[in-house]
Amino acid sequence: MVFLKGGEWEEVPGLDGVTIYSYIRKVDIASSNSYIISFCDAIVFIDPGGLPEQAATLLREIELQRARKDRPVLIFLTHVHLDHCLSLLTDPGFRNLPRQILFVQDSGANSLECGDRKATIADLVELDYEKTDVDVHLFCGDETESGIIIDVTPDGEIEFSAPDRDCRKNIPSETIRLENGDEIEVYHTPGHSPDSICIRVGEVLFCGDLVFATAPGIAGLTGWDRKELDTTIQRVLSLLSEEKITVCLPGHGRPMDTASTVSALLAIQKEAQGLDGIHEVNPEWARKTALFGRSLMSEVDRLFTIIAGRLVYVSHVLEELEERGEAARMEDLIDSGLVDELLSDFNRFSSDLQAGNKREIHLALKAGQIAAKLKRLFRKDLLATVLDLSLLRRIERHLEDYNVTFRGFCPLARIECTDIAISMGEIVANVVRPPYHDEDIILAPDEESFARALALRIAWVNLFEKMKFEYSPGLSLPLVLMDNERFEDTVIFILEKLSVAGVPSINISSRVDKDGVTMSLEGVAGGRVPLDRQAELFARNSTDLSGGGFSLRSSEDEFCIELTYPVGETGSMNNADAGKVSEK
Amino acid sequence: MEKNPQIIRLSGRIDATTAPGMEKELFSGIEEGTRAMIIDLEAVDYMSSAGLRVLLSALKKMKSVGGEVRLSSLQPHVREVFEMTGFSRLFTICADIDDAQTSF
Repeated sequence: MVFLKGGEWEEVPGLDGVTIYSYIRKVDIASSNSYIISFCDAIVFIDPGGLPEQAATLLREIELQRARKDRPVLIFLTHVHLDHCLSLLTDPGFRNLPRQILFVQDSGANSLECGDRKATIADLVELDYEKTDVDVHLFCGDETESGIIIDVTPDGEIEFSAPDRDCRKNIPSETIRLENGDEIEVYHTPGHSPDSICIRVGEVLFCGDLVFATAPGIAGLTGWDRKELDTTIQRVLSLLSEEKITVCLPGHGRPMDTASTVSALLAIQKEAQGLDGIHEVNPEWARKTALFGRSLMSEVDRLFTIIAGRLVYVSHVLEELEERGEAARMEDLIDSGLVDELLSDFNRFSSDLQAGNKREIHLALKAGQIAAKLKRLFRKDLLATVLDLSLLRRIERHLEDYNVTFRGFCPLARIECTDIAISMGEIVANVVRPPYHDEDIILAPDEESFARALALRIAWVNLFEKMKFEYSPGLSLPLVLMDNERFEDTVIFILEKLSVAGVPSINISSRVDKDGVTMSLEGVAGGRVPLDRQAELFARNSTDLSGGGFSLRSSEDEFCIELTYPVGETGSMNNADAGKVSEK
Repeated sequence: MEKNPQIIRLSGRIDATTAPGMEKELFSGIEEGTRAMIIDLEAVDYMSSAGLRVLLSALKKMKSVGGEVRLSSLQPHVREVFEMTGFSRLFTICADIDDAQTSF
């Protein structure tokens, strides 16, 4: 097993006297990894990346190599996304390298030459670059012309030779041959982008972003193609099985051995099968997803704080009651310290976006990363032994909604014909109904059951003890089309907000008109803001996902929140038995 | 009871990053002999569970030496967190500093 550490010159596996300098970064979209390979007759430079400090290090290493022996510098881009090539396009140090030859796949080369902002994702990361000429367009012809040999002399002259038919591979390839016979082989590997290439030097395969091709926020980028990706993966898997390749150097992150690369490619191939119809990842997607992410994460933050805070509260009360075992169990139900750190991290990122230091695509990606980590920390089964299921269900749903949106799809809503009057009646009844029975404490068969029942009782916070509900469902309401669980979550969210705002009473009523059935929540504002801007946005999105429309009217004195749902096709009448429900 | 309670004014976000600093400030007051403390939260616009944890530790420490703590001027977001977690049952929460001062 050969490992490349990076940050120093190391032998290239499979090639005597050829060394490599790997600049390896953590995975992000600010910049790729970069690689410099020192051949006897040329310096090969793969993916200059996108950060100034990275460029300075790489230029210094190239200059040191050239000082030892002046050679042409052959620059290859695994593709033209700006995280791989911004420094090349903007840093004078790279632009002025003597005897440099830039090799880019034909469609990528055309994109650089005409300043295409979509193909380079310049539009998405909101960066500018100058149009740039490319010296060698790789893979100009169709696949039948594969196998071209490009000879490079020590003076930097280029000569093309006809393909050698006997050496044809299963994957479109071209070979760059140096004066002493050393070779660099390039393979056209579209999928992640049309211009993606892999590069082989000795036993090393530089695979660009192939192993990230299905990652959320990456799959669906302009030029992404699932079918081409599938073909490419099959071809690269064949290459890895037929040729002696021991190390794969990706465009981002740590080097991989062949076995790990094969596993990763098989997983990507499987994952890609479910990505038909994925949303295009473009600036509009980034803007909407970042906005959705910010709104959802703010609510996730609120719910996690409530959960963690309530566990601290329950643990404290249990300790006071000398139930130390159960108190300790409360503390272990969630790693609230880590949750706090993740949410603080997201908040800092969000502030950076507002300060103009980050872009919306960065925030969309960050929210995806944080949501995935929170999902791993969230143990609903454990937390449900003590906490309100509605809180837990909402967190789970919000994290999943973001994951689905970030993945490039729409969150799933189960829109069904529903009796909205009964749904609302159940919500009003359930929010003030304790989730425990006193008998569970009194009749607990053992100490552990007693402690658990006690914890459940302590953990229940009745937010609505000071709020009076008047619910007049109305008679003969038609069934409506909505996602009942999402409707319930939305109404509970609104009621919680109204309760903590100090609204003393809510009058809930319904009406039917041409738009459908509307549930109105009215109350006395008394100078309070019933829903702040963020809560209103969240309620609006949440209602929308449940299949309805949201409106809010408020003045100094009163407010009215309306949720409107279309009438179901059957138009069945219901609610004949629904009486007036009043809860206090 | 002490006539002039110590007033500690906190501000900004109280989360995993800032909570340790807040803990130090609250605890040093108690260690220096304060037995009546008002924690003014008027300028606190966010509090995470790490902040709640520190406030509870300070309350317990103060109670263990026979002192008292009041919280004052909670902003809507912080008030919501207190109400929804049950923390409003543990602390005496006052509308403003004047109320807090007269409550001792």
